[in-house]
Amino acid sequence: MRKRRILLAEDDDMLASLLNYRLEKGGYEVVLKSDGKEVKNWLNDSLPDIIVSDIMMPYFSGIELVDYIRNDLKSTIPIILISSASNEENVLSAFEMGANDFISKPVSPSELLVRVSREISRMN
Amino acid sequence: MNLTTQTYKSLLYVNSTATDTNVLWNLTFLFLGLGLLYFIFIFFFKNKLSQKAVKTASKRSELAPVISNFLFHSPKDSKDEQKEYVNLKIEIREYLRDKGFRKILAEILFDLQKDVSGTTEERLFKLYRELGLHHDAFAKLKSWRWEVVSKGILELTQMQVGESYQLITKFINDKRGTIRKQAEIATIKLRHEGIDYILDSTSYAISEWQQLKMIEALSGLKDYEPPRFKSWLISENKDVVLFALRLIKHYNQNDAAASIIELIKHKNDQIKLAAIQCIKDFNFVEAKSTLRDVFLVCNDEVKIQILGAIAIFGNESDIPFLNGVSVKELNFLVSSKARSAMNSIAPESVLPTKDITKTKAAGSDIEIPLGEEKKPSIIHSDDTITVSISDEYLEIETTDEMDVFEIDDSESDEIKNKEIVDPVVVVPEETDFDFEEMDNETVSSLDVELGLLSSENDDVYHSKVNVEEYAEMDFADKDTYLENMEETVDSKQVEFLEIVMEHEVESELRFKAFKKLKKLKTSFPVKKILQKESEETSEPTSSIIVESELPETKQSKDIVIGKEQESVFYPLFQKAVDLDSKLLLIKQMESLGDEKEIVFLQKLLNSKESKIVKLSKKTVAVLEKKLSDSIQDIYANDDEINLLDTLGDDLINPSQTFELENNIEAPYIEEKGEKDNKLPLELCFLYDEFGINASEEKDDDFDFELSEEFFLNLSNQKENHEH
Repeated sequence: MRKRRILLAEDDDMLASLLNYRLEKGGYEVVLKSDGKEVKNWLNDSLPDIIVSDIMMPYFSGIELVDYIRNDLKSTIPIILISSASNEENVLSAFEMGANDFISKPVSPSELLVRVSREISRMN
Repeated sequence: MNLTTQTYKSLLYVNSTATDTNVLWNLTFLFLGLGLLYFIFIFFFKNKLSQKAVKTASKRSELAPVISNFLFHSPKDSKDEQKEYVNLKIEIREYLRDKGFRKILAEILFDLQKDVSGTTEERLFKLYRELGLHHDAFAKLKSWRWEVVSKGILELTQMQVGESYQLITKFINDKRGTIRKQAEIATIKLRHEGIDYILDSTSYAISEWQQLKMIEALSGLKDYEPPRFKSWLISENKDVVLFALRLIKHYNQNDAAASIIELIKHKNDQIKLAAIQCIKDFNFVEAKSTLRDVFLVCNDEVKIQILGAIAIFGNESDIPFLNGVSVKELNFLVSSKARSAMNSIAPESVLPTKDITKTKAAGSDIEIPLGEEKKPSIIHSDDTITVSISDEYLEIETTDEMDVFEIDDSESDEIKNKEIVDPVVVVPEETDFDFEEMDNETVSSLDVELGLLSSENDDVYHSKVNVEEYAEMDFADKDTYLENMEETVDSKQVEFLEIVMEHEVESELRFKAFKKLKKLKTSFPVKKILQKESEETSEPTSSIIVESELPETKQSKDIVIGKEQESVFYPLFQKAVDLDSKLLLIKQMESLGDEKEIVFLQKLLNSKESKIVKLSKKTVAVLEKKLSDSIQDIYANDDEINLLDTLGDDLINPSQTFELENNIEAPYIEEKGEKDNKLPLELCFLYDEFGINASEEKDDDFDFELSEEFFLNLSNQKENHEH
């Protein structure tokens, strides 16, 4: 059975590494990207099964990413955003753009795993 | 040499004395060298720091999967994973001997702690302790540098090292503020009872910001059951009391009513405010009386809060208090808040008046004539409220000085005497409270309670107003004004008349004012006596009021005698130690005394000394005879003297008064002309009574006496007028 591929866009190396480890341990294939540009370039070549992205990223924010995927790529792949608790406005605008879910920092890696698997099961 | 030439060739305009240019060049090279060294130093350390950062970053990236492995390791993992875990553990123990490595590892864990939650966070705490990193933090607590100690406390708190609680609590009363604050937060976060310890033991001030941070720290505690914070309301540390009040409010602990109410009396305004806030939030109605009691001694901010509290849980019984505040309070914000509170309790009981356009209602049924006190009134009606007042009143009322309101004129004299600037208070019918219930006693007690304007102040204000009005009048108006004063004569005019007497240029007007004043001084005590008589049964007074048994004629002027202390002999008599001097004083009263001395002598009739009693009796008789004779002398010439002015209006037939007034001047002046420039007898008595000494020596520059010509002219004018 093919492993589901997750695009993890997070600029904090330590958190990215931790989430990467947890998601990989959870049975997913993780593509780790540290800024918006990298994500955009990678998305031009291939599409993941699900995207987990931080809202605040260099060059290309999580909201812009959602907008790009939904409007430019015309893709419906599930997007889960990671945001700090005070970023309510951003979260709301991200949902308006078409984000599927969000999880606030501090992140519980186990919780993220559950949300990812839920979105994938919805997709199926 | 070449350098020297070059220097002075290139700088032609330098005319200073030639110095050794070699020294200058040497200095130039020195500074260039130092600059170069400085830049080398910067580059060197920058590179070193960059290298360190790169090294750290690589170490972090190396350690990240290791830490992840530790954090997410499970006994259920595959054998390969178990093996890898064990190898990593061995490897990391080797690395932990390096101090720098430990530092990087600790930093990674602190960073991760901020980003993760749930079971991962708990594992992170466990890992921190398993790696023995908390020992480094303990070592930091022993440092003499405040920033190191503070960082150590922060690390132990972040990683929830419970064992550090005892060590950290020692810093609660540290003299270094930053450490103290860090320790307070740590104490709260490490154990649930930490807040109890802080409130019990802290002897330093707790800033408002710190209090908020501690409340936030408490809010972050899981399954936290707050203690009853009322226990700390008795603390000697006022900041602890204040913090306890805030915690009580935060956790809605409404079981400390008595203590909180008591704290309204606290000297500290912040505590008062916090207590009032609690009272408002918990609706402690029983605090009303205390709030009213402390109102006077509070500052404006607290007063406003008190009024706010009364507005919330007050009822109609509080309206007199609020009305008193709105009328008497000098601070506009406070009085405005009082009116607002009244409106909260009884909606629309106070209506807006500021910048309200004047409108003359069709039914201007209340006329307030000029000269009368421009008093407000409340008109009770079923649905609508109508305030009808005269134009004169409105003119004064709509001054821009302040919000203009008004109160019922049926209230006490105190309130009556207030100027028009008082607010209009309109009480709707449906309100149970009636302003007429507010009797004199209530209002006067309110005045005393509030410590606000006294009636004396009001009188002064009145007289000032009168004088200002009077000063702008011409002669005829002044004359009319003084004439009309007869209708509205009362005690408040005394001061005005005295001012007129003193400053009026026209002697005729001065004389008129003098006559009015005389009338006031005689009529007012009669009223006073009547008032006193009614009070006599309930309250004994020290003042003595003697009604001599004179016939029901004009002699009753002398009935009115004041207190025995009013006698000038009274203090002298008190100071006299031996009998002889006392007898001497009594003897002196015979020649100098008047009715005041009679009162005093009558008091002396009760003396134990028979000589004093005997002499007093004799002196009283002499004085009475003297006074009686004087009055008879006056009335013997009653065709020329308007004795009405010296007597109460009620003691004389009005028709007689009219006749006397019409015939008063001419014969008097004729007779006066024969008396070798002596003062008129009436004036003599009046001057005597008011203690005015007529100038005995003739002064060419200043002559305040009425001249003979004046009376002659006056007589002639009168005759001409009659003809």
